[in-house]
Amino acid sequence: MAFIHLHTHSNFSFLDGASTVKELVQKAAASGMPALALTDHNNVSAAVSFYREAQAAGIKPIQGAEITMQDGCHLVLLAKNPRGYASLCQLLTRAYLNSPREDPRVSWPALENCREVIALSGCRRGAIPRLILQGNFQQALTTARRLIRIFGRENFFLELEPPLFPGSNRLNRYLAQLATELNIELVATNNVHYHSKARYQLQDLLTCVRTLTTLNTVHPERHLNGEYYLKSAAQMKALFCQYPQALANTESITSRCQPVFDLEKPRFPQIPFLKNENSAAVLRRLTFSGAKKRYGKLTQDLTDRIEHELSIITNLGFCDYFLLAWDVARYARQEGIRYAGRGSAADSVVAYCLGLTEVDAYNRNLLFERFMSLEQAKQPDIDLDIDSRHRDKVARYVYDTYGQEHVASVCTFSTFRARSAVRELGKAMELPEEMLDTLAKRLPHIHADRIEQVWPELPELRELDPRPFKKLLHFCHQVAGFPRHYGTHPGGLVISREPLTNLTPLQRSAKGVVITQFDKEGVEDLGLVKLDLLSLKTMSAVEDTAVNIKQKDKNFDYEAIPPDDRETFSLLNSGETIGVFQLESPAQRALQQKLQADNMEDIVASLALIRPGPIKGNMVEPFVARRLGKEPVSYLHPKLKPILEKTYGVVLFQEQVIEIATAIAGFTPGEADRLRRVMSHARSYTEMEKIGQQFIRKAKANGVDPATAKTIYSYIMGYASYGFCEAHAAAFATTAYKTAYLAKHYPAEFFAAVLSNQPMGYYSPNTIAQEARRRGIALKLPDINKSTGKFTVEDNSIRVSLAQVRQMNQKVMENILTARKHGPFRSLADFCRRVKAPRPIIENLILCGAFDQLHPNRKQLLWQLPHLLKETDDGLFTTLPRLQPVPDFSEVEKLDWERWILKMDVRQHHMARWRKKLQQKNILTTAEAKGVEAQSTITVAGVVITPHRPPTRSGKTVVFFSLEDETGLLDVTMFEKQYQRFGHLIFNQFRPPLVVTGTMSGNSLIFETAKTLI
Amino acid sequence: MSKLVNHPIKVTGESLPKQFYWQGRQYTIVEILDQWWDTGCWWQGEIEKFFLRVVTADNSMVELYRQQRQWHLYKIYD
Repeated sequence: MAFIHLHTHSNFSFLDGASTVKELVQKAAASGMPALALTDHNNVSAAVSFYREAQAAGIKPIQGAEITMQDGCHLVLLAKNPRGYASLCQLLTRAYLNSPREDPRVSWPALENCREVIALSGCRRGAIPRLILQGNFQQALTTARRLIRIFGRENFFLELEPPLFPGSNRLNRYLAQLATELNIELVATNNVHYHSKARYQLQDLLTCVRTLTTLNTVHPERHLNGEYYLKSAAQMKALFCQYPQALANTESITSRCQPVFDLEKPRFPQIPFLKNENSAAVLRRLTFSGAKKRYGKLTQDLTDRIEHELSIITNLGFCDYFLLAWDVARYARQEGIRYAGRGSAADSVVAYCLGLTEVDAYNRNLLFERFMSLEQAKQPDIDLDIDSRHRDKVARYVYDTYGQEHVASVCTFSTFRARSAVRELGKAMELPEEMLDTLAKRLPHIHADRIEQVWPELPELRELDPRPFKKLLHFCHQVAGFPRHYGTHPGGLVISREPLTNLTPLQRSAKGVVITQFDKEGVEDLGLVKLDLLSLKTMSAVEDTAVNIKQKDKNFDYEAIPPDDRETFSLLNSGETIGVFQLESPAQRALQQKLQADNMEDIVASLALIRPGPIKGNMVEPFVARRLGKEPVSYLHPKLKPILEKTYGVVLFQEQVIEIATAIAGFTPGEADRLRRVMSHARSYTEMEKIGQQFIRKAKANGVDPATAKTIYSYIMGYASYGFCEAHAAAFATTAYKTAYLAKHYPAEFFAAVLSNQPMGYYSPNTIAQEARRRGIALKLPDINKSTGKFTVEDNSIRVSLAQVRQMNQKVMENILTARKHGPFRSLADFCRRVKAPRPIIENLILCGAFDQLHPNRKQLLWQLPHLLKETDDGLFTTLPRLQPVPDFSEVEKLDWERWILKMDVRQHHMARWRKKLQQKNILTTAEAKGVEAQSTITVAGVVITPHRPPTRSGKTVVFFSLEDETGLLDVTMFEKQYQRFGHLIFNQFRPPLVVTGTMSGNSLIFETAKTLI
Repeated sequence: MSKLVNHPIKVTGESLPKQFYWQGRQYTIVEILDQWWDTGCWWQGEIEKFFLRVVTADNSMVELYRQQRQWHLYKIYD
C-alpha cells in the first residue's frame, strides 16, 4: 500500500512553508511516492512549476489549496480535474476580491458553488478539529453534515493528524467516531510544511516574521515541534497503524484526481472588431495597407519578406495576437498617446507595417527568426513603451474592449534578497536594529544566499564583525529566492478568450490592480497571451519637450527630426550626454567620445556594446579600433562577411549568432535560435559543449573546415552572456538619437521636461539640474506666482515646479493654481486667505524662496505665518500682524534650506561654497581636471555619485563612480587594491564629499587615494 | 492542577518506559494517554524533548519526557 501526502505547503504559502516545490517533489519521488498534492494557503501560484516538477520526477501532481473560511477556519480542497481547478480558481477569486487585501476569506454560500473537488477537513485550524478540541462535539457534527451536503459524502474526508502533538490521540479518536456516525471516510495527512526536518527552524522563524513576533514570543501559530515534514510512507504507516483505512484512502483520493492543466495550449483572445472575418485575412489586409504607407511602392523582395512573416505568424496561430497589439497601438495613436515598440518584435516587418515598432526591419535586414520561427514554440513578446502618464488609459482600453473578466495584470513574486532577508529574519531573531540597519545598508543588491560569499570581498562589510550574524546568514542562505509577497508586473497584461478565472485566481495588488496568481513565465506556460504595455517616462519627457518647444516653434515635429544631424552627432561625440536616453552613463559617454559616431548604426552598436558581456570580454576597444580604421577587419570565413560587416567582424547581436549558425553550420532557424538562447542565457558549460559539437559536425557537413568551424564557435562562445537583440538596440537607438537632438537644440525645453518626469534615467534630478546650469541654462527658485506643476521654461532658464517642494501634494498644488486664476498673490497674507494648505507646506514654500518676490525676508514670513493661519481659522482678517524686525537667514542657511526642500541645488552646486579654500590648497574642479595633461597626478574634490561595481573578466573588483561639483562630472575608476582601502568611503550611506588624488587617463581619473572633505 | 517536578528519573522498558522510579518508589505505567515532541527554544541551543502523558497503576497522571537518553519526571497532575 502506498501513501500519498495530500496536504502539503510549499514556500508559496508565503511565510509558512519552508521548502520549495522542487524540494518537496524530489523528496516525494525519492521516497517512492506515486503522487503529491500541493495545497498552499489560498493560492495556486506554484501550480505550473509543481506540474512541471512532478512531470519531471515522474509523479502525479494533485492541485489543491488550503482555503480560509470567513471565521478563519481552514479547509483543504483538491481539484479532481480541470473543472474542479476552475471551480477552485473562481472560489479563490471571490474570496480575494470580496475580502480585505491579503486576508482572503471564503464564505459558506460561495463554497456551495464549488464543483469537482474533494474536501479534507483540514489541520487543527479546520472548523471540525477546532470544535472538537473546544469540546463542542455537537457543533462539529453539524458542520460536518453541512460539508457533506456541499461536497457529497464520497468527496468529504475527515483529516487525521499524526500522534505527535498534545491531544492528537484524543482528537483522532473523536474524528474517527464522527466518521463512523456520519458514514464518511478518514484520511491520514501530515500537514507538510517543509521537505525535511532540518527546515523546521526556518519555518518557525518565518512564522515569527508572518505574525510580527520574535523567537522569544509565544504565539499560537508557531508549531510545537519539527514534525511537519514530508515523512516517508513507512513513517506515516507506523504513525497511523491504528487507522489503516485512513492511509489507504490517500491512494483512493489520488486515483480520483487528474492533472488539471493542458499547458501551452494557446488561448488567444476574442478580437471584437473581427466580426465574421478571418483573422489571417484581416492581418494580411492591415499589413499590406501599412506597408504601402511605410514604403510607398512594394518591391517583390519586400513582398516576399512580408509573405514569409505572415505565413509563419499564420501557421503558428498568432494572427489574433498581432491584431490585438495592432488594436492597442491604433488606440494609442488615435488618442495622441506617444508609444514605441521595443524588443525583438522590431525584427518583424509586419510589426513595422502595423505601426507596432519604428524600426524598419526590412531595410535594416533584421532577422525575423529571432522573433518567431516555426520551430520556436515560445509565444513571441510584443512590448510597447507608452508615455507613463497615459499607460493606464491604454490599459483601461484593453479592459473595456476585451472584457473585465478576460483581462488582468500579470503578478510578480517579490523574493527574499540579501537586504530584506537580513532585516526581516534578523528582527525576528531579536538582533539589534542598528546592527541590522548597518549591515543591510552595506549589502549590495544580491541574492540572500550570497552574503557569506561577498563578505570577505567587500571592504564596507569586512569592517563589521561577522560573528553576531553567523546564524542569521545561515537562514538568509536558506530563504534566498523564497517568494515574500505579490507584486504587479510593470506592464504585462494577460488577455484570454475564456474567463481568466477558469485558469487563475485573481486578486488585488497593493496598488489596487487586479492581478493573476501566476507570474510572466506562469501565464505563458498556461498558454495565455501577454501584451507588455510598459510605462516609459522618457516618452513623457519627449512629449513635454515637444509641448515646451511648440510654445515658441509651432511647426516643430518630433517625428520629422532629421536622422543625420551633424550637431547632434557632435554632442554625442563630446560625451556630454547627461539626460539622453540610454547614452548618459559614464561608460556610454566614454564610448561616445572614442567611437565618434556619425550615423545611426554607431548608436545601435553602442547600445549593444556597453553591456556586461562585451566589457567583460574586452570587446569594446577592438570594436572601436576597427570602427575607426585603426585595426584591420578580417573574416574567418567568406560566409561571415555579409553577416558581420556592419559590426566590423565582431559578433555583437543575437541575430548574428542565428545567421552564423545558419550560414556556417546549416542550422534550421529553430536550431539556431536554440543556440542563441543557450548563448544569451549563459547556460551550463555542458549544454554549450553539446551544441558546439553539433555546430562543428554540421559545419563540416556544410563544407566548412572543422578547425575554422571550431574557431568560429569559440567566438560565439565568447559572446555568451552578453547577447543583445539588434532589433531592440535599433528601437532604443532611434529614441536615444532623438533625445540627443532635443538636448542639443532645445536644452532648456528638454531639461525642464526631464526634471518634470523624475525619477527617470541614470542620474538624480540634482545632476540633471547641474548639467542644465553647466550648459548656461539658469535654474530659478519656485515662485508662488509663476511656478506650475511642472518645470517650465522662462526665456533661457528653467523655473522649478511647485511639485518639487518637499511635502507638496496634488491637492494643495491644485488649490494654488486654481486660486492664482483669479489673480496673482500679493502677499503671504493674501495667499493664506485664498489657499487652504497645511502649515508645513507653506513653511517649505517660504524657506525655498517661493515668496521671495513678494517679501525678501524669509524669516520674517515664518514669524508671520502662525498669526495668519490663526486668523484664517478664525475667519478674521481685520488686522495684519506686524512683521517682526528679525534678520533674515544667512545666504548659506538659505542655500541649505533650498537644497533640503527642493532636493536639488537650484542656485549653485553646494560644492561651490568650498571652492575658495579648495583653490588655496590647489585642489582642482572637475572641469579643470579634464584639462590637465594625461598621466598627470592631480587632486580634485566632489560629491560621489552613481558608484557601481560591474562584473569584470578577471573577477577583481573595479569601481566606477563620478565626482560632481559646480563645474560638472569627472568619471573615476578605482581598482581592487584601492577599493579594499577606500571602498567604505564610496559605498557609504552618507557619502560625504571627497578629496580624491589620482592620475588622469583620457577624461577620467584613476583613483589612488582619498579623504573626506568635511 | 499540576505540580512541576522536572527531575531525572530511572525507567525500565525498551523504546517506551513501562515503569519509572521516583523518590524510592516504583510506578508502573498502565496507559499512555498522549505523546508529543517539543522542540523548545532551539535558538538557544535547547535539545528536542519527547513527552509522554501517562496513567500509572495507582491512578496518577504524570508527564515524563526524554531528552537525548535521559528520562525526566516533568509534571504530576492532581
